[in-house]
Amino acid sequence: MAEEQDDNIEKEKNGSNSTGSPPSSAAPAPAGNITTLGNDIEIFCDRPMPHLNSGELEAYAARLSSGKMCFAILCENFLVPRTFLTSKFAQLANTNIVRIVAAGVVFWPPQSRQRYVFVYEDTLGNPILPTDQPQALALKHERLMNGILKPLVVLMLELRDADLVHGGIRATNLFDGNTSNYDQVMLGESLSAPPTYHQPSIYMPIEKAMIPPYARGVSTFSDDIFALGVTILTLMRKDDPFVNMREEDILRQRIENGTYSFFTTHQRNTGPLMELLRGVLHDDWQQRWTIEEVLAWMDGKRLAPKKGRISRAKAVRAYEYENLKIMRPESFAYELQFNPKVAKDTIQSDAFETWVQRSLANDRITTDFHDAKQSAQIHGKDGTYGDRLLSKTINTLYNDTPIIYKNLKVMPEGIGYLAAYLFGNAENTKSFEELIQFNMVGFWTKLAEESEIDVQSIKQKFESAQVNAVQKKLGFGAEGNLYFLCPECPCLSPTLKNYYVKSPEDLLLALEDLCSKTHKTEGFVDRHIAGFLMGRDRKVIERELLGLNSFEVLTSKQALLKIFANIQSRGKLKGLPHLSKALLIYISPLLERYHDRTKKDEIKKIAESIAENGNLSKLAALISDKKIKRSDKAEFIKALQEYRSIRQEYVDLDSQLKNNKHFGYGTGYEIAAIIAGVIAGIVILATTFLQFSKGGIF
Amino acid sequence: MAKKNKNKKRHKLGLKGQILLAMAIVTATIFIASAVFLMIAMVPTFVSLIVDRSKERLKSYTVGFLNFAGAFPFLLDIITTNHTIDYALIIATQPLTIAIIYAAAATGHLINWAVVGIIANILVQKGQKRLSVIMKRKATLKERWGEEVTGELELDADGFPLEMEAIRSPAKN
Repeated sequence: MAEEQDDNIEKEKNGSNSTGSPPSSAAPAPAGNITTLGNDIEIFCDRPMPHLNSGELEAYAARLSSGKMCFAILCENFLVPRTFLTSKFAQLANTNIVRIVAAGVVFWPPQSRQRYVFVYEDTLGNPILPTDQPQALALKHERLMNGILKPLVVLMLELRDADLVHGGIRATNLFDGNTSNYDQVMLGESLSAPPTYHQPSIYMPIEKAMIPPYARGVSTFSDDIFALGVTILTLMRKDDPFVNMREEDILRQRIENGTYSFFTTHQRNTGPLMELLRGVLHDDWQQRWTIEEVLAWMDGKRLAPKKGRISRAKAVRAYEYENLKIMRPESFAYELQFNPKVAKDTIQSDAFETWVQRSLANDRITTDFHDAKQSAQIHGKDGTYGDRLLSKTINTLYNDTPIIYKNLKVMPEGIGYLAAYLFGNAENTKSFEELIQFNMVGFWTKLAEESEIDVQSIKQKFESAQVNAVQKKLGFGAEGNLYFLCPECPCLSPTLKNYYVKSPEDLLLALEDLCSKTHKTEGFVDRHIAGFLMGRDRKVIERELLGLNSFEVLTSKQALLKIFANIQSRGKLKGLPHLSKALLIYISPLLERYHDRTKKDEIKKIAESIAENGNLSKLAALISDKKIKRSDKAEFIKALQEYRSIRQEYVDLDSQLKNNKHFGYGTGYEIAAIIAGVIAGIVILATTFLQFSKGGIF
Repeated sequence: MAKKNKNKKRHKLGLKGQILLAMAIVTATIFIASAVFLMIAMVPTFVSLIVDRSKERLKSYTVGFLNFAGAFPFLLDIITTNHTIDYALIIATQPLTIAIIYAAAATGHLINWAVVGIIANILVQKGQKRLSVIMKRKATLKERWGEEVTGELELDADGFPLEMEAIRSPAKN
């Protein structure tokens, strides 16, 4: 039963609304040894509670404002916590599971960075089987049944009804509930890391036991049933037969003999519990008991016998490989992962092919092996051909195995968590990138006909991831795929290493805080941040992606500003003055792109005042105002023409004044002629008048 | 012969000029007395016409107008009193007549000299002032629009100097 993403409503439920101090407001950082989650919960940084640690994730004492004591589990960014299940787990009424109080981001003073925490009621008591003790408790049947099994089964029924998978059922995660005699056994938490992260491999079915804890992907309810079985077995046995065995050897035996047979080899106990164990420890999930069958068994009903192990292919002749005589393809698949060089040579040899075709003589495996070779050749016979063929051959021989490629072992639905682990620990991601690029999942899904998971949707998802991988632009590539495949992963950008950013709004708040403390004016976006935004909320970034990836810095700067403005407006965030001021410096080349110096200064002043208020939308609108730019350009062209014209006029006039000795003479002559003409006219008129009025001038 | 012809400036009269000339000849023939008087009285104008090298010969006009103004009273007297060649010659050869007429022509020269001097001076001053205004305007334009308004810098499609291309280099990813 796959986990579903749920909206995180822990803030609504508990009123705890920490964005992880130090806040972007003027509130001061918390004192050195206390941090707060929301308004109600204090967490004591100097009071660890190691007995409540969840694996390597540490527990610290906490207290509600009412005085009630709790404990907080600190999460790691790269171990993606199951934050989306918080509200569902909080709604469980069962008293045999630790009760969640709140969850959110806090500022952790000892490390001066934000951490995600889950806060639980401190009602667990002490572990009934601490990890540092031999894993055996020799509990009597009655106590095991009434004190452990019954409450756990009831709890699991409630979990199943709520469509929840716990993923942390194990002996070391059971607590006494501050009672004796196991009157109130309590199951611990499992939200603080990826599903089944803290489960030792013996608590996992074979196919998931091969995988590192961070790469197991989603767990199913059937996995919880299996884990219940191993828990019961651990609690009932007198000693731990596996304490000195290597994990590899344990797995080898499980593959060869079956989990139930191997686990109970040393078990002297017989009795009704063995029937339960046979049912719940079945290696085939389809044959494994469901919770109803467990309940029916507890009610004393006789259940129809399950089929034994599905008859598996067995070769008529053993293959000698690495000093082992291998008869079964599953065993061969398991052994091939240990020495890649030898493995690659072996599977490409004629001897191996002959063994598959003639000794195994299994049509399905023969056909699948042929398909594996064809499939591996699609991307050419380059340096990685051998690794691709090896991975596909392993799947061919043992369909249920995870994808084993180079140094990676991962279930398809765990690839996202794997990527988070690799990026979060700054490890080499080349193998991960090749896994996507060569669509190794596609071949796996072809063979995984009877998988519990939704194979079709996985296949489609990874086809999309393969397309993403090819594009090297911001928002795509390996980092883009990380957030595409693991939507719950917080942003793992090195820029934000001290922050827990789980949404675009958190990103802005983190940048606001960062800018308030540093003089950051560059590097607001990197491959992680772009990929994170694409994964979390495409709408805030998709429209500007082309601009963001533009060859021209001005265009990309403007696109970034618009993206941040988008986020602020969609998230209805209050003003972000520090970020705005930093962005103002970042986009200063854009503010130079006005011809009119007066207008430029005016716009700069307006931009500064907008930045004071921290309104990115207004800032973006100011920078993008096409009307202003158009009019600026038009006026500039006019000015250009005017300058040209007056410069020419100057040259001409200056030349005239310097070289023309008779400058102005032409006009002078004209005026003199006019004056003379006027005078002559007057004289003529006067003379004529005098001549004819007075009978002559003379 | 050819050389002579080359050096000679031939002022060809157009049709209009020919008609005018013909009319002038006819008029002079009809009003021969006035023509004779004017031939003598307008000598300063004829001399000015010959001497004046300026385009459109505006100087001659100045002298001519005042020369004619000076001769007009006497011409009018001839026309109204005794329009004969003898009377015209008597009037024309009187010293006072010549003195007045030629003084008027001289006044024309004086007006020409004075007015041209004043006007030329004014125009030079105006020209220099205009140069100064242009300089100021150029400075104002440069201050408001930057060096790029001079057109001396290489500009991109948006009108910004190409040196700003440095900020348009590929975005870092």
